[in-house]
Amino acid sequence: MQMVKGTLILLVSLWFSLIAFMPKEELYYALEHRLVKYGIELNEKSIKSGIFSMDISDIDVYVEGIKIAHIDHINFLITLVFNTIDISDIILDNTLNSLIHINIKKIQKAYITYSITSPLKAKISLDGDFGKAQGYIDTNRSLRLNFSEPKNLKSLRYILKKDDNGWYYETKF
Amino acid sequence: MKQNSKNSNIQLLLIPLIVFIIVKTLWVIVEFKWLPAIGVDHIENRDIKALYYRVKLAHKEHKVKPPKKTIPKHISSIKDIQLIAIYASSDYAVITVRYRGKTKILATGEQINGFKLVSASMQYALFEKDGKTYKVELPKSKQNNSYITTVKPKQIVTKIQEPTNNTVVESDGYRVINKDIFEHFAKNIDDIYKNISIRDIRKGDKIMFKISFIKRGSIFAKLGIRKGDIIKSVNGEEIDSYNKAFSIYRGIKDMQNLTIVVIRNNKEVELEYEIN
Repeated sequence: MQMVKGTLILLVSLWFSLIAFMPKEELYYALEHRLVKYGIELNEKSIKSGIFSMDISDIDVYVEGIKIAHIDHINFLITLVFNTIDISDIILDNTLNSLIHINIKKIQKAYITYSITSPLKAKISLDGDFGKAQGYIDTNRSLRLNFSEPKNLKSLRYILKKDDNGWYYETKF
Repeated sequence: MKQNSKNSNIQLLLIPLIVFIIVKTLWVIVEFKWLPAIGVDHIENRDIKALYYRVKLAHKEHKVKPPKKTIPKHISSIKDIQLIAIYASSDYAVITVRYRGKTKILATGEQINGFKLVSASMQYALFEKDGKTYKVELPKSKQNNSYITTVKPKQIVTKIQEPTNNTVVESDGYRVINKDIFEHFAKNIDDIYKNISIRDIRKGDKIMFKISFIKRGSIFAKLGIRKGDIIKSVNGEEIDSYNKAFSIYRGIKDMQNLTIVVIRNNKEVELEYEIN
């Protein structure tokens, strides 16, 4: 009994300390440095890290030095077994709209979840000017988004495909 | 018995404490050894500035005649204004004039040296100053040629929305561009794609922009740019990234002079523009 208790306490304290003492800000900076290699830069105004979460506000997103979007807020929830990235109010810059011929100005919500129950996939849920979309990113570096409740998709159609379930977007990166 | 139980409870309490210390130490090592202490700050590339002076960077496509030196007069008169081109409709006119060696584009209601453009017909433009009306005639050599255009009322709308070829006027080896053209293309980016196609060529970290298509007779063709040209620099600033290319896109409407150096048949060609 004492052994079981000890093991449980060991596992719980290990799980807790791994998350609580995780240098979240520095890990985010490492992500920023990694993204620079792909020409993506993130410029944030503030970072606040808690025990299980981290909040980043007012982020400007640059691709190849061109500002393409402003993100109002990102919340990372880290529990190791269930992790989420909750992105609110992505406002796409006019430059992006004119560059890639799309007529989308805002994505109200982007929600990415990763759970150990499906370790090879991260689920994505989007709600924006194009309607609602759900999809995933998997370990094969593929992304698929199904537009379940499409709205004003006209400007996006040239990059979309259609099947029995409706419009979808698929790419490999 | 009680002592044993106390000891085991202390041992259980010690487990998380030891784990915390070990994990914290490990994270500190990871942090100091592998993780960056600061993030990446985006440095805004300075916008391409308008030229303050001109330096010949390359051979010109056409030899430019040196501008005629005009002796400044103390009192300027209507004679200083030389009419070059007229674009007229029933209620709207745009004219190109040369004033003291400089080319300007005027629309109805705009002034040059106090002379306000009132109207224009096929052969002349009417100005007003101090209640008097002045008539400036187009030189006979330029009458009845392509510089003069009359527009039917129906076409007036398209004239405002779509820049005409008259927005680019060639004069003395350099080209004068009407500023409205930039406003039009800023609002109607699709019109750019219809007329010109630019492909990026990557060489290491640097990007070069090559003109892969130009629509014949389009404004871009009138600008002197040709298919196959590689844009080297704009106003002396090398264009080797999307950032720099977009700095120009954003700042071009505020420029008065534009010098584009392109690589054509392995030679540098300098194209000069005046924006009015």
